[in-house]
Amino acid sequence: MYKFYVNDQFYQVEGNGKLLPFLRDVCKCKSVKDGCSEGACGTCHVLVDKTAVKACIPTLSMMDGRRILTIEGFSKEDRELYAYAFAEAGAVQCGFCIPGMVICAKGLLDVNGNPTREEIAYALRNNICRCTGYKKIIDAVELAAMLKREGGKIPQKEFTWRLGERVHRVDAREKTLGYGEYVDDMEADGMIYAGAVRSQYPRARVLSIDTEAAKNLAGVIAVYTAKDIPGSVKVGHLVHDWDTMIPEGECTRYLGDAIAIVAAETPEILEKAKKLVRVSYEELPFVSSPYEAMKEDAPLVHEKGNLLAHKHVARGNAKEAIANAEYVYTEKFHTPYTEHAFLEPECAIGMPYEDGVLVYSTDQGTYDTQKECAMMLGLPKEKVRVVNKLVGGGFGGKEDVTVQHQAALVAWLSKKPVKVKLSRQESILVHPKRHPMDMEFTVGCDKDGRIQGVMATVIADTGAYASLGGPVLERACTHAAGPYNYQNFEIDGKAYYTNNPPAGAFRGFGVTQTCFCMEMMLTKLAEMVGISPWEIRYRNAIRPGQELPNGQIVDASTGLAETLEAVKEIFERHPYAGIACAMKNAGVGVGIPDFGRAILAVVDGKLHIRSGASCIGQGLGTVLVQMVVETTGLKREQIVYEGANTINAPDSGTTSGSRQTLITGEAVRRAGMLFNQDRAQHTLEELEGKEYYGEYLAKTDPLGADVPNPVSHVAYGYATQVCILDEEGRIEKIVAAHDVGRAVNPLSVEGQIEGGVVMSMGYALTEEYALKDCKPLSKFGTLGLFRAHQVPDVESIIVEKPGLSVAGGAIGIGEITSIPTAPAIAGAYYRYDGKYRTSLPLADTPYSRKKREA
Amino acid sequence: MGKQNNQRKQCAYVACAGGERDHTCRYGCTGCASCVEVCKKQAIKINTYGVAEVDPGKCVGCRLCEKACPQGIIHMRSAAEVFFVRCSNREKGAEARKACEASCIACGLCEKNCPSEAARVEDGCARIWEETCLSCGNCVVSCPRGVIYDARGIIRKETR
Ligand code: FES
Ligand code: FES
Repeated sequence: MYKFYVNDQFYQVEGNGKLLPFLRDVCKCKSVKDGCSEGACGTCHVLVDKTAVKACIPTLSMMDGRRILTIEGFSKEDRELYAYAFAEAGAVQCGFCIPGMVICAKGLLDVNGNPTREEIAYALRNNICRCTGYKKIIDAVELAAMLKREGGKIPQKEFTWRLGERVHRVDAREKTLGYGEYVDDMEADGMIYAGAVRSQYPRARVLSIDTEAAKNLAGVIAVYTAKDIPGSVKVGHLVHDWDTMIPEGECTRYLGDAIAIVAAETPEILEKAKKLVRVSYEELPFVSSPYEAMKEDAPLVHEKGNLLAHKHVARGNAKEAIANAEYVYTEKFHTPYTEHAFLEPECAIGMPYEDGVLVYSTDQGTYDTQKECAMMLGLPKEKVRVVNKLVGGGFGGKEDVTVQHQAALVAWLSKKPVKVKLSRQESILVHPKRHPMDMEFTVGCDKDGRIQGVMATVIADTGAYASLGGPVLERACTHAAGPYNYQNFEIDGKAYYTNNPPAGAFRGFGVTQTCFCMEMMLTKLAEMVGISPWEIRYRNAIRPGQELPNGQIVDASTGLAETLEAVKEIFERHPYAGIACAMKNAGVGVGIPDFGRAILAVVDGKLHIRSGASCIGQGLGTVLVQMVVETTGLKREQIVYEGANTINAPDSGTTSGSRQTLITGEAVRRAGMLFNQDRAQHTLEELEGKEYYGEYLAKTDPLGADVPNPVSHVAYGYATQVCILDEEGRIEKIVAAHDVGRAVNPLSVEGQIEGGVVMSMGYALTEEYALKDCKPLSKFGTLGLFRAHQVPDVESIIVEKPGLSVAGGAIGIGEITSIPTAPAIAGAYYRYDGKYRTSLPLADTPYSRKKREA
Repeated sequence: MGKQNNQRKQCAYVACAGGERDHTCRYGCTGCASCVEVCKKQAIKINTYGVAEVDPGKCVGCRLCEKACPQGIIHMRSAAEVFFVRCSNREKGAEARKACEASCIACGLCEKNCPSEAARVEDGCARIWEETCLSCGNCVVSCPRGVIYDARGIIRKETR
């Protein structure tokens, strides 16, 4: 018998068990998040006798006689204090890490009322945040400490909520205090739990699946195999090549393949039952690299062949231009797999609903999920409803269905509400990663450093399934040219299937890879020409009215040169400074119909924003509210932002390609204009029940369109980042200047920049997604994610330049923040120690892992 | 990383917990009290098991005890890092088991359960690398011998 208090409530329990599920399921303290259940992420922190402890490791017996505090038990003053400080500092993005941060902050502030930034960072060192780069979280704790010292009075801030204002995010409070619901926080009467039995081999034929023993276990509701799928076994975001479950007689393609799905009354029974499913396999040779995949006699990952995509992009005559160039340089580069490591593992709840199913999801695109689930169930789309809950980070890793279709299937077949949640290790295995790429570049420039021509090749490992491999390769190729003014460009890219975990969308979408190469090439050429790395970029930088290598004439909002000017002084002042530029499209582009859609509905005297566009932590809801205020002149209190869903919100595409601010933003603006026409004659009350539909088609030309100056994308963001190393070769600071057209909420823009930069510091220096024989060896705690006490200062410089005629001139910033960081860092090391590094993560830096002797 | 940690307050600990019966371990604390003598803060004493034990509340991290220890088993840790190994026995399995009832037998369970490769068995004895430690307590919970301690006393080996 163990006795303890949780938030001043006395508990006396008989059986033992882990603290975390007890707090969440019995005490209903949902602010205590489960990001890994293995002690690595810190989302589960609680205060035990005033000390911050991870709740997923200790058991109830260890709590005997102790007092546990979660945010639910905070005093009113503390709740207001942290809610205000985190919102004001802009510390909240996806929010999944935030309650754990608040706990550690309180643990610190209760014993040290005036901590330094370093002390705060140290107190947060066991909490991973993948979104913010920690800077604004540390700001928030500093602010909370200050307010507390001054007596705890919370300032009353008034905002106009117009474009350009540093408003508090609409979801900051619910996320900080932990009452905002993620899928895992939901409960439903009679809910069951389901999960997949996954392949034992990267490539093997499934000979037979014996589910008898599992079915006979008490508490098991059903065990399903591919035979039970009513519709198409195969699903997929674009290419339908991904088996929901591998049928008997067919081959597995990676270790994450589901063979059977077990449904049980409790998560514990589920785990037991999964072990009882007996699968017999015929082990087959696997393909572990694109070079094996391209061999003529290579085993076929998919029957149609191992080449998923081949892209050839050419304009002008690169070969001739290089032949005539004054300086020519050729180099090979390699970039690795990267894991998204969003803090919220994939989770979905499915339930029977009317004559179909309802799926609660954590999703980058509710309509994508609807389409894939409907296809798999053999139902018309309308019968599958998808509702997004809060999304605990995505970064591209939640564009494919992983658990959603499994939840839909079990709900449909069993007629019961069901939760499917990936363990952290499953998440690391299952969802698509960033593509590893091998690249070779040849660049020629004239005697002044002006680029004459670029030729390049790309080989990408797209893993077991297509996911977004095709478009990622395409974006890698189209953006390889860089944001520069020259006209001779040729690139050839190929993406091969292998039996590795699939690769797909990841913040930067292929551009993180080729940008690293192109920028390293320029750094080298600058040296050959005898000018500074800044100068070579400034001379070549694309300026309004000029033609990009893809032929597109860039508009007046093009501010690359301004971002370079913004960092010139700091770059020149430091001996060990590296610099890199980047461009990134906003919107899908290349001729694909790219629709933003929104409905503004008057309900109970308020204007509701309904759009199927997912907020995955970047702050879309806040952007849309600001758009509506700007357009309609309504007050913040008169506007309600509803989350993405397929029930009452129109399809506004996937949250991908940095597109939502611009594309859904414009759709909302258009709906607002329609509303204004009515509003001119009526009061809001008189318009009750009315709906205004806004739609925006971002029209572009297909790749290779037969026009002199094709419009590949409606807008591009531009950036220059500078990395400064100290005498010991550690990063002192990263300065990131970004041209965003118009900053809707500068606070959020800074948050995107800081988070994107720190994410790519990991990409450049510490992160590793280790694979051996197609099996991931990395765990969440060994991925090499930067921790709060390890990050240097990141300074954001926002460059605003009008010229884009839609969405108030705002260009999405989600991805570009992560793109130039790695080459800027590599450039700094080149100046520091003279080593020209061509692969990531960079070797021989103070951040390199100490290799363990085997 | 390391640089910042080093600036933090340090605290000594004795990598030996002793056993309740006579122990024959040649690696552990002999109870010679050299450390007790040199400590200017009375932060170290010989406990009921006959081995030296540091009071983290009193320790100022001056390292005198570390230098005085003839067995070389007093080490420093960041005061804020709460998990540490209280054994120095380098034998494996049965040998280590025989030597003391609170000995590290180099079974590797801490290493296996550590999410961040911070707990490692090196040279026959567990060790925790502060730089990668995520302060979760998996090592404490997984150690069958109760060799790894939580300085706060919250996470411990399951007794029942
Ligand atoms: S859930 Fe406890 S550390 Fe991740
Ligand atoms: S806000 Fe920290 S993980 Fe998303």
